[in-house]
Amino acid sequence: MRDGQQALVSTVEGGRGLVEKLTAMGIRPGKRITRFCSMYLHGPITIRVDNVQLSLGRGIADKIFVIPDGLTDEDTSCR
Amino acid sequence: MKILLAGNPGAGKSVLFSRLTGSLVTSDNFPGTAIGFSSGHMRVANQNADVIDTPGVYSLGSSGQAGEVARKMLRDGDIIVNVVNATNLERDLYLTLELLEERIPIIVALNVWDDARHIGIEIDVAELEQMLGVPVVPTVATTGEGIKYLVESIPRAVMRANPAATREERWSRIGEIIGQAQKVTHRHHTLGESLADATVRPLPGTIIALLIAIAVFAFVVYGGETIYKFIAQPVFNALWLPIVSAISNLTAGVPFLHDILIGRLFDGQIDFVESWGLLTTALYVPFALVLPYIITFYFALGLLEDTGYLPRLAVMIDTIMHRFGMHGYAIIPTILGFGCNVPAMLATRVLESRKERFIAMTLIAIAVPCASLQALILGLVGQHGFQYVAIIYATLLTVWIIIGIILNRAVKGFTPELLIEIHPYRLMPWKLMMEKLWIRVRGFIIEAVPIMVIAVPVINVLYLTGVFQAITDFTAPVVSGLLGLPKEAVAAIFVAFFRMDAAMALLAPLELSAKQLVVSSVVLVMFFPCIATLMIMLREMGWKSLLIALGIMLCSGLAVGALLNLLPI
Repeated sequence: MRDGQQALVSTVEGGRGLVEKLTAMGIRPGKRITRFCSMYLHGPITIRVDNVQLSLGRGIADKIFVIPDGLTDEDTSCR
Repeated sequence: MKILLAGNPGAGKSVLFSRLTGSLVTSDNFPGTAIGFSSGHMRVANQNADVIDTPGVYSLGSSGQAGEVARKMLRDGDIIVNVVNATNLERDLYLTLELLEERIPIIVALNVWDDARHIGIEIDVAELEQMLGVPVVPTVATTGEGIKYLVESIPRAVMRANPAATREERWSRIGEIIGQAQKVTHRHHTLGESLADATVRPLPGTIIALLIAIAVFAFVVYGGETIYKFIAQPVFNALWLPIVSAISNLTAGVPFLHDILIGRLFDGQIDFVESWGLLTTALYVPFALVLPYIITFYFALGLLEDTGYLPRLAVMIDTIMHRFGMHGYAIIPTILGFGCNVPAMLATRVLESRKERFIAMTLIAIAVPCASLQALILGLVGQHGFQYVAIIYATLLTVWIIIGIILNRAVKGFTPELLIEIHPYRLMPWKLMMEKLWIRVRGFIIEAVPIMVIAVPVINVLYLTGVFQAITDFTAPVVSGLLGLPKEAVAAIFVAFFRMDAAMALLAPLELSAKQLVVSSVVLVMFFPCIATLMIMLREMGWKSLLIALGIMLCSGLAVGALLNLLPI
């Protein structure tokens, strides 16, 4: 996913604890997320789900599988 | 009656708590810090009630300390006020549904109601009430809107004790509720939001972070200096000096008493910093020299915390912190350490792994000077020129980086990845900010003044009886030979164990050169932490780790001190 792109969450992999935490924070299959911004040098990625903004390390982000649906959010881009 | 406040992190529980009880807790904008809890009192329907602020959790099933604490606390409450963030209704309702399965009456406070309306979220409160089966009251905790009605409604709380549902069942039920009770209209970004977004974008975010750091440092230093010069110093000179001078004259005939109360005179004059008496130095150092900086530091820190900037800083600095074996969150305890190392050690609890906590605590103890120590460094070293103060901070930063890199390699264990929610910026009411500042300033006075009042006479007696003389001669090879300091400076290292600021004050009469002041400041920061910090570290990391941490402090402190002594400064 590129910054500003939107996608639907398909699955979240990883340990039970992580999946539960992400679910509770708002990331669960079927939700539309927007990749908002990423830090330099493999730093955390900030995403939006509804009105929630979350920052996650790359390792965690890599465990969230998404299906891009071609939509972008003009307001939500890094540049 | 026991009323529990429960809700997701950032739902506004803590502010609501202070609205209900009238007293204030330190409420921070990032999840997790509220482990441990605050309690207060309020009146409901002419009855006294205890109000307890539980840690923010997303779900009762959540693992980790916060979830555990929340579950335990729920068991012995009489009523739950479930604080729900109206702008995140869907997600927050998950906890609500879990709570509705418990055997306890519940009322929902639909908080952040004003923001929800601004961003185009319409919630049908009557419909929501109907679907949940418990009262729902819209509130705006930051302004106080709806609080009175909430208090009146607490007795109407309803116990549902719904049958236990699975996660999927809860989410599908939430889907139904949202579909019926919430309408969202799309709307474009406002200028304010674009500005807020800039603070997590790489380039503008980095620039903003640097500007904020410079602004905070300048404010704390110059603001503190201004309060000292124009309020604290004049007050002491105009009002207190005549009184202690009179006492000095009265006790002149009883040398021992004079030494304890007033201390030494310089050309027949009292010197508030160097006289070293109970009524002079013991009061002047905490109230005149340190307090101004405590006020400016905690004012700035409070602003950063309450507006919600700190989690963004954690995101910006995450990559760098990983080089030191911690994730970005560790910057928050580190910043707290510049005020006082004790709460900083407690704040490391938000870090998940043992490795992270050990590194964070050790680095704070070694390289982060507390506000008391900094105030004296600014005062004493600053007289010789600001470049010397800069050398001290640059040295500490270098030490922090080098030891951080080494510890990351040497300490076994893992560093988890960052996973945090970035809450929207908000403005706290001034009154609440001032109350929080006052609580912290009062904490400093209660802690620092009694120790100073005890330490100053004790040190005086140790001097008068020659005990210090013996220690001084014993340690002279290290202190003079290695660090290039007068051998009497060792007294400061001992005193630093009790009060860092007193230790620096003890150096004042030694007439040190600028270079010697730089060396002794750095050694004082890096060597042993004060006793309060040490006790907390012992409790938080245990004997073994503490001994290792102390070993690192001693070795690196001596090494860096000796190195600075060799450099031409």
